[in-house]
Amino acid sequence: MKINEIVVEVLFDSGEQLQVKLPAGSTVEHLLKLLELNPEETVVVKDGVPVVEDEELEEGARLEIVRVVSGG
Amino acid sequence: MVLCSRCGKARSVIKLRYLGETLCKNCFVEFFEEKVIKALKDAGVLDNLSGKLVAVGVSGGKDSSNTLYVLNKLKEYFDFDLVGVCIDEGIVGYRDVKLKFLRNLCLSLGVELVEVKMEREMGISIDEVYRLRREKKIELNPCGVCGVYRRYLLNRAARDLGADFVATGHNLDDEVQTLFINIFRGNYYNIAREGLYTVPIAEDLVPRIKPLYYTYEKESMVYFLLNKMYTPRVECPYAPESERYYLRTWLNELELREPGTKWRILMFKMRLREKLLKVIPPPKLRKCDRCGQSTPNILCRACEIRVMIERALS
Repeated sequence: MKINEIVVEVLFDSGEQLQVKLPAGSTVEHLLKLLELNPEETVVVKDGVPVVEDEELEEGARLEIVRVVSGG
Repeated sequence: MVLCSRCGKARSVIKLRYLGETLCKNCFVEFFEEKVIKALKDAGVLDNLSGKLVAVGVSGGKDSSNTLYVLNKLKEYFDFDLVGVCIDEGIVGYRDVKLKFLRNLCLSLGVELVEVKMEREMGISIDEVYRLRREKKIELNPCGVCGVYRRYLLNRAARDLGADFVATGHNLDDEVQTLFINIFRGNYYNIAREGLYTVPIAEDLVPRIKPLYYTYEKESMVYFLLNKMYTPRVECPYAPESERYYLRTWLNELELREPGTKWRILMFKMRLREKLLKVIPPPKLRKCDRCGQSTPNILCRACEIRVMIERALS
């Protein structure tokens, strides 16, 4: 890991897990853009609580990606 | 940490792009529930709920669970009673999982849950409808069959329970998608018919209300998560085949580019419906030859479908 980079752990509701590298100072919105997810269709949850797109990410954060759209 | 733009005290849990606000848990819950109250008020039923029974169509998904949860919070203040009705359409691996969650939710809220099996009532499950379609024995769209049967059975169960209103979990996104589906089909009659409050046109059709009418789908998910309703993350396996699936993506891309687009479309839909209701006379109803429910045709839509399926199988 470079000094100006952070790594966050992402867990999808499908069960898939990813480690994502981002520039330090990146926000939830940057993460969603990188993952090509529309914030309108996604809720990002940290420690069991939803976080907003403007929230800055910390090194080692564990984030759950919850899809908003559902079919039932 | 992004602080709440209303109280300025707590961490924000949702960004409402269309309002230019970010809200903390407490402010958002208040905002969400005020929207529900506004929907009931605009539907003209808020002052008319006292002593009434509301049957909530519940599937175990976030929207109908939220509808049940919020109405349960409001029921003492506005003095009405609640019952949950779940139409079990017989999708194995989906409905059984959701039902388990739903039974627990109703138990924890102290709300009675009535389960209606589609296979028993209509002679076929949706899994079976899909199988027939795959085998090219029928041309019916299974999602369409599910929708018609679901509405039919929900209305019948509500009527049998003596409910004064049926509440469904349709949210703002659903309503906007439905408007486009009706436009694509050229179905102005349905645009006039379906609204925040569906005016009863016959005694056996229970008036329908949509408490989440003004609620974005994302708001519904955040409310659901904040209230710790842990529904199993299973989706209807047939959902990607529904035309809504594509509309949803397109509308959400527009919303991202121009926040408030979906809200403005909903407001347009409401104004359009008002105008259409003035020029479209209510249909002349008779009784369905097969089941006796009010319908403008010889058979109601549910019985029409039943006949088509029976013919295909004979």
